[in-house]
Amino acid sequence: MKKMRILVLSLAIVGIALFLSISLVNQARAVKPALPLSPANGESWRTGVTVVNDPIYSLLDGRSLADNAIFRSAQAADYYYIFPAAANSKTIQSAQFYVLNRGGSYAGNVELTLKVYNFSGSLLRTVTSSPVNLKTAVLNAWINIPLSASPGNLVVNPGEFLAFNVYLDLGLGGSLDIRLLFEVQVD
Amino acid sequence: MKARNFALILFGAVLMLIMGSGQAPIRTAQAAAVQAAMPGIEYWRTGYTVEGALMGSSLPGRVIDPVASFRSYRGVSDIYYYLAAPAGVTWVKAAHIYLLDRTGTFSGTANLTLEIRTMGGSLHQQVSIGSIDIQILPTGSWHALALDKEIDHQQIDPGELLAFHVSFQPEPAGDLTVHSIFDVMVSPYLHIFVPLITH
Repeated sequence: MKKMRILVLSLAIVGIALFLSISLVNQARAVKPALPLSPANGESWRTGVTVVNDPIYSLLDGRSLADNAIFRSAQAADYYYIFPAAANSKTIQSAQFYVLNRGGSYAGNVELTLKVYNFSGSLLRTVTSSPVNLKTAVLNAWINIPLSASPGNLVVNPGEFLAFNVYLDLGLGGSLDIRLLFEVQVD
Repeated sequence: MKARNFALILFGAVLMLIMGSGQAPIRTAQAAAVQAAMPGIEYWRTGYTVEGALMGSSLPGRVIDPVASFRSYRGVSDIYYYLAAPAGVTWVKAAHIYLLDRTGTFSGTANLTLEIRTMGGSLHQQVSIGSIDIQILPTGSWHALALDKEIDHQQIDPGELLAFHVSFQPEPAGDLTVHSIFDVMVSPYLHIFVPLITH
């Protein structure tokens, strides 16, 4: 009788232990996605080169990298802030901009978009879901740019590069002067 | 008595099972913390072109840009594209070159190597195996450089710089111009450790 009691007690302990161990393993699985995992090849891109009119990569020769971009509506209607190209495929995780300063005026719209080009300057993909209006963007704050819902639009392949495009829809004119910072997270 | 022993062994085994499974989230968190904190890998894609010998004192004021220019008619046989000078020991893990364009001609040889040089410009190690002939390397695609497997040849020490070096031999002439971009993967770790996280 005593042996039977010990056996029943043992089985009960086994049952409780199995239940606890399964729930702990499940907890571990549930916790993992919330941990700040940093991919080994993740990068933050914050410096680029500004060119006007055509985003041809060889035009970057001799132009200095900068951590800020200046767009003047009197100078050109199409500006590009180009990030150095990578040899391996990159996927854009997020993109932000910061308006340091905005002065003067421009009659038309001033649109900011993030795009992928080939080295000849042909547009391949638009990364942002819709253009951001730089005339009304909040000053002195980092602003997250909504990205395309299509994962294929977030990829930068070898032989391609990423650039912010500022487009003035009424052509050059006016006296608008905007100074921006950018940050793009890629994996 | 036998039943009691059996129960004790079973209890011990179960206890170990619980403790073992209790470690799972801790191990996962530790692995994640190591991975998040690890500086890991860097990609160097920008530098500056130097025609002729580099002197450490001539570094200030040079424009850092993502495109290197190698021209055969600048009156110097050696042109360098210097990348960053790290403050700590850094190892070169991979290097790629992309020729954006090539115009003109040069009757001699124009070979490119990846090198580690001192701040005074003297050669310390050659990182790449052999050299690449930039007169025949296809334009419009990325090419991986073959790197020397010797650890010493991949190691950039404080006070040293990494440089792509094009040598025009026997002497500068012609009108060859090559624009290229580079992508070098480096790490402060000799061996890149990626923690294994089980699902």
